[in-house]
Amino acid sequence: MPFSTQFGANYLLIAEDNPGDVNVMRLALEEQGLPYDVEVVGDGEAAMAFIDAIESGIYPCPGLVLLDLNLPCIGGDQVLRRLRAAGSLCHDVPVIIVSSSLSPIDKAIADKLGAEAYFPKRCDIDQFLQIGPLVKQLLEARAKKLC
Amino acid sequence: MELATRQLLNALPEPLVIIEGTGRIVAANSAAGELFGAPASTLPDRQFQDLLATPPERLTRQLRIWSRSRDMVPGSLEVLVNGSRLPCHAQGGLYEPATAGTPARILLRLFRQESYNATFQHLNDRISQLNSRIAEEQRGAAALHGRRQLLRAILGSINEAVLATDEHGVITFMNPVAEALTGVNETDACGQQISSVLQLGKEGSEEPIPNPVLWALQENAPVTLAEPARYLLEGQPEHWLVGRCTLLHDAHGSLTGAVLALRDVTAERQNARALADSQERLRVALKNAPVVLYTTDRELRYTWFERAQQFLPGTCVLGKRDDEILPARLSSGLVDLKQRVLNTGIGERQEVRLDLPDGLRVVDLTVEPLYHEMEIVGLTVAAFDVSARALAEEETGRREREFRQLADSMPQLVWAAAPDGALTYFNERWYEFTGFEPGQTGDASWHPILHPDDLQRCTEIWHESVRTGSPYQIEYRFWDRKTERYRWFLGRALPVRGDNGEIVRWFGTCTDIDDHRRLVEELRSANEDLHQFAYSASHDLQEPLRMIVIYSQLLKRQFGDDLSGQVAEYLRYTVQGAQRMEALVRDLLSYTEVGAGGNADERTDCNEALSSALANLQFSIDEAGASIESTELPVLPVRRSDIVAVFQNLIGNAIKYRSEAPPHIRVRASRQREDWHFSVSDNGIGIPPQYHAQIFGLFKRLHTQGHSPGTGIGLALCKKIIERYKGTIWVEAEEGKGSTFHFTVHAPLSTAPGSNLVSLETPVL
Repeated sequence: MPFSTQFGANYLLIAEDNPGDVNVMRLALEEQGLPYDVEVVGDGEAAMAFIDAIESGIYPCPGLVLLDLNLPCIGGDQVLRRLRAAGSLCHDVPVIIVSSSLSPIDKAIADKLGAEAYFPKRCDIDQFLQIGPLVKQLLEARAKKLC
Repeated sequence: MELATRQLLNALPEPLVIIEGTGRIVAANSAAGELFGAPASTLPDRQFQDLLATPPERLTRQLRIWSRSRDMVPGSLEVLVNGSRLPCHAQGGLYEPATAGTPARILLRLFRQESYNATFQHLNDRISQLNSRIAEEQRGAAALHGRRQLLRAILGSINEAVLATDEHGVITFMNPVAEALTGVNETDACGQQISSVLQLGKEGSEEPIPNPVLWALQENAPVTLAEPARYLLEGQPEHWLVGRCTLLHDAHGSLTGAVLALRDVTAERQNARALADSQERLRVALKNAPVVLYTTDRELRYTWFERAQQFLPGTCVLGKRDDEILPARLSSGLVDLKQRVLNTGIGERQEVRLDLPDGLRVVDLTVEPLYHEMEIVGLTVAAFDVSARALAEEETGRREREFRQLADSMPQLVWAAAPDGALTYFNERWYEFTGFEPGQTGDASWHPILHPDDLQRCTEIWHESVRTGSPYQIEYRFWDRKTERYRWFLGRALPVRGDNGEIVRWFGTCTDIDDHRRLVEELRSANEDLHQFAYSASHDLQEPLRMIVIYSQLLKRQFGDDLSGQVAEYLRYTVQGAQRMEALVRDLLSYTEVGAGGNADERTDCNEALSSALANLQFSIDEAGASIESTELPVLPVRRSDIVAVFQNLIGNAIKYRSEAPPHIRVRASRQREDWHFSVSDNGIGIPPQYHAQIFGLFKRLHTQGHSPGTGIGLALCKKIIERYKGTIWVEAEEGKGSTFHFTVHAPLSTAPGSNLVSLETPVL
């Protein structure tokens, strides 16, 4: 996985197995003009390995995580638990759960596990691109909080 | 002995014997000969003992008493006649005292009890004859005096009072018994009118009855006192007498006098009275007891029958045999039984069924031989009517057999238990299934085949049912020796109650539900799989559809200006097709989810559900300018999401299929017995009648995609939801005149609390 330390905290982590959705997310971020690099992991195991690397001090914490709930191998909910676990370096990193599920149960799970937002993948490009403003809003809120 | 004496003795009808104190017979008359079964002439010089069955020491004692008695003293002897014993009464007294060289002589009079009355008659006749002869011979024959003395001796020995009168009723003779009876001695009495010595009355009256002697003399005919007549003597208890007056005639037939023989029957009468009383008491006792008594003779003829009417109404049974009063099929068994007891002399007890005119009777017969003097002379029979018990037992037995036949014919395992839960019966199928020894029952008899994991649960539930008397139902596994595995059974048992509500028995069945249970499990599993599949499929189908839609849109968005009109049109079709398919998949997902999950106890306020549905439809409502009105709606035991979906689909359709005019939609609800009836009416385009049923089918649409959007799942979803609540859904519509959709929701009155359930339109029934 290509990675450069220059990202610092100014990178976003996308855990999503569907390259088509990753593309739309990148597009949405670009449209907002956000100065962030993007690191992508395609399944739950890769996401866990990435977090291990963060905990080992190899990588810094990302500025925000876009986490697909329905990841192969290890589910997004497990990854979210790991991020929000006590003592985790990323415990206050904003997380947006991205899911094609319309089930209110999935949204409830995301809330319980401490996700900042739940974004359903819509079957409409305009609606899907709304994820861009959402990311921007959360990043700005966090920047204010940190200052 | 003098010839005349012997002739006189022979003329007397009663057996008379003169014996010495030593027992040697001196003389015997011909009647005695008849009694002993030997000519009278052979009896003198024989030992009296040889003719008797009486033990010698008793005879000796008896002879000693008689030889000292100047009066006739009663005693009893048993005479041997042709080897059999014949009990006889005897009266004896001193006839001639002992002199030097000759022992005392005793006059002995013998008679059989049953011949007493006949004897009496004969005696009177003989006396009469004798008197005639005496009167005839009296005139010149002084020698007759001796005979008269003998006659006097004989008459003196007779136990009856004998009085003789002349033709005017003047007493000429009284024997000692008559003296004792009247309290007047013969000397004083002779010469007196008989009526002054003897006055008789009858029972229950103070009036005297005609003197029998005077009456006989007047009528010139013998008179018999058949009924006991009362004889009152001052200072003495009353006496009762029977007797007969015989007339005496001389050789020329002229009336010369009368002889009255009287027998004191006071003691007998008292005995008879006492006997009658006790018999009456016995009769009353028997009449009230459930027992019939009778006796028969050796020919099995009824000789006495207590309460015959109870068994054989209208039949006189005395003197008859069973085979004369009962049909052969009934009598043969009785006759066999009785004959056997007669032959063996051993009593028997047997239950006999008699099909009598008034119904079937079951009689418990106790037959015992009836002895008299060591001889079986007949039978005594006690018959208990045990019909009620026996028939009840038979009925119980018959029902039990019916139950067992039924139980054995059933494919289930059937069992029965006592009220305390002890297992008492299993049907054939049980023994066939378990391989246990037929007849093996008992509490633990089913444990060997029960799955060990089910044992405790089973035992607890069964004991609880037995304790509370509540029906027992449980599922458990039994080992099936044929397939060599455990099979599931449904065990059920109900208590059978008696007349007073007490449990008399438990009946239980074990039904093999293994196949059923496996099928249900398989079905449930298949349903779950199907549901899971539908969920995954719709979810997984949505992903690629989303890609098609999004990237088609992206193409148009980024290269729209560069695309030719045709390419843009093709892209539009691609997006429309994919979006439509996405909607189909989503609705299909909702359809499969009906009935899955949810809170069974959920209660929904339909007013609130309607508001939710309208909120969801707000965009369409505003766009179409629709107005919606509603009556007060009930609170129902339904899932909120279900009733929202129904309202949303029906109102959505009403808006979607509107006519030129702005949609006006009315929602109503009313109570109809155990259902709530809802209707949603619109003023839309209506539906041609031929499609009224079809529109509720899955994917059924009446309009093209272009004219009105829709997946064709909405009404099918409504139908599935409504049927889940035991309701129905239907439509009333005409093309161009609007539609009214009706549906009902089952909600029994008992489970519908709250005033808000009362419909404003229809009162609650």
